[in-house]
Amino acid sequence: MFEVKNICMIYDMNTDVKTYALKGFDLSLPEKGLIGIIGPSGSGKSTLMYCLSTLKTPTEGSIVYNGKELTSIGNAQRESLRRREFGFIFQKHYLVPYMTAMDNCLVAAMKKDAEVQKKAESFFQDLGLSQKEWHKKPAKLSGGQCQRVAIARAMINNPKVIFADEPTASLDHENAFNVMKILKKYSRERLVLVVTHDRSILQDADQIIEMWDGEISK
Amino acid sequence: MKSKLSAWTYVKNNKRTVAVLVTALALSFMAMYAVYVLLITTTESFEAVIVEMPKKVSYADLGNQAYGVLRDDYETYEEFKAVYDAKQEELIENLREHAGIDDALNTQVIRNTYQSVMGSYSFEVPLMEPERIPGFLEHVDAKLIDGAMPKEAGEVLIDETIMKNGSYKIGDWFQKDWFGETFRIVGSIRSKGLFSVGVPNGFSNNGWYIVVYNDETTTDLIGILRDMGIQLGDEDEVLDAKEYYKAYRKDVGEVIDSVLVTLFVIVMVFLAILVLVTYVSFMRNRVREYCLYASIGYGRGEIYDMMLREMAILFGFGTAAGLLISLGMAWVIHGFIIEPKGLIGHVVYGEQIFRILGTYLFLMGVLQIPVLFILQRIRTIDAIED
Repeated sequence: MFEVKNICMIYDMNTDVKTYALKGFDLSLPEKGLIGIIGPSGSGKSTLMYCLSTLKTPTEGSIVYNGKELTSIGNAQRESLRRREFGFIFQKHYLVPYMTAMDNCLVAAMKKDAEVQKKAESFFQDLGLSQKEWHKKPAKLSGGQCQRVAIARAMINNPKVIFADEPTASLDHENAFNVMKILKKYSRERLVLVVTHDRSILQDADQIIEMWDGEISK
Repeated sequence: MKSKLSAWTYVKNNKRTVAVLVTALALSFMAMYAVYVLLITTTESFEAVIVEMPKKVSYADLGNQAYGVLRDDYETYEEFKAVYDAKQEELIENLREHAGIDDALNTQVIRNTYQSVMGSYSFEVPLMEPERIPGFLEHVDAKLIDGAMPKEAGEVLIDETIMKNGSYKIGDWFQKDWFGETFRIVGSIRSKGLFSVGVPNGFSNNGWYIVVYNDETTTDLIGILRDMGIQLGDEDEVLDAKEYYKAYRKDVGEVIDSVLVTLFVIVMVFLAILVLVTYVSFMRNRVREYCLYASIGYGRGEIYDMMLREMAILFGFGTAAGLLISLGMAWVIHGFIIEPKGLIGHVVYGEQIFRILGTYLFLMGVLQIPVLFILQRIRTIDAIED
């Protein structure tokens, strides 16, 4: 699904001392499966995920997604891809504070009809959110519940790829385990990329990419 | 078709913030409208006197020089007076024969005052012998609606609106002045020009005037007098349609207009600051939300579109609420202030409503500056987390 060639990301391009977040490597990712990207802070794992998801453009190299070169497409195409084919779970849940859990989930939906509403309800049930929590605002939900709403939001359009950046960072062990179980389930049909520095959550990963100082170490 | 970002979600979930903005818009609308209703009633009320009255009656107070009669040319005052009176009588005869003039007479006047919300307007009430009054009423299309026709010296007929305005009733003394209680109201009349008329009491008046019963084709008394060889000087006073209107523009129109414009600008500046500050504050609180939208695939155009729709909803509600409470307030003002005071005014002033709507559209235009500024600050979440 993704073919990455010689990807390179340099920050502070205009200064004398350049910072290399990604140091030019190749990578191939399948159409489905749970892929873990692991590494310490500053290893470039999040940068890699943002480049793959079109949120960032690499300084050099090529990223081909389903035959499409992502580094040369325009903003509208990037937005369309993010909207239609990608789902995002950010480190902080980034729920809109004034919206209910349901509205937060539906905000990403391509359509907003009864069918999508039912789908969101089904996701919420699968994620263990009780009905009374569907209409609560994020301030009234626990960190784990917020993260589950964010997961439902990421899955609402059945994206081909879910990008999850430290999805369990703010969760206790039990909630972290549940979240990974959901992502594992989703990865049976689609690709789920999980960026983390916690190896324990990647027990069920189909592939683990270890990063170190902007390069793939394993 | 992909769905849009809903503008209603914010409105539904932020009732307090929305209520503050809507209330500010509605109250500002009401303030601008209520002030207009209160002040414009002065203009409208006085217009009845200024526009309608001279269509029927004009007044001229001419000095001897206007007739070309100079005191120095005569040895005695009696000689001078005899020539002056003859000239005056000749002029009156000429006026009576002029097309479009029903009658003219040399008579005394008193002044009547029409008190409005802002200021008052003074106009002439002719005094004449009782037998002349029916003719006067016929000329000015006035009808006696209550009381009786004046028969005795010092009896007056007052227009019903002016009676309401001055809280008079039949039998009351009219215009207590330094002579004491001088004129008694014996009846009320109704006419478009708010005319009043009375019988002289022999000692109280505001001067002698040639009262000209003109029609709408002969409202230019100054022109008519000049055509008749009258040389008008600074000491001569001619009150015809043009002069009435000139005085009205100077004493009423310009004052009211400037007060209205000043108040309008003050309210607008206050409102613009309030709306700008509130709007910028609530947009700044939502930058992360906009960043989320950008991250999950909404374009800046779609976010801008949502912002515009939210703004339209806020201004729509503010305008609708403002219009409703403004009309309610205008109705109250009309019922409790304008109508009981015998003033002329309306509840609905379309031009002011459109003026306020135009101002709100302009305000929405001004708000595009901070909106576009905020739009430029939208990044995707990776930039926030870096």
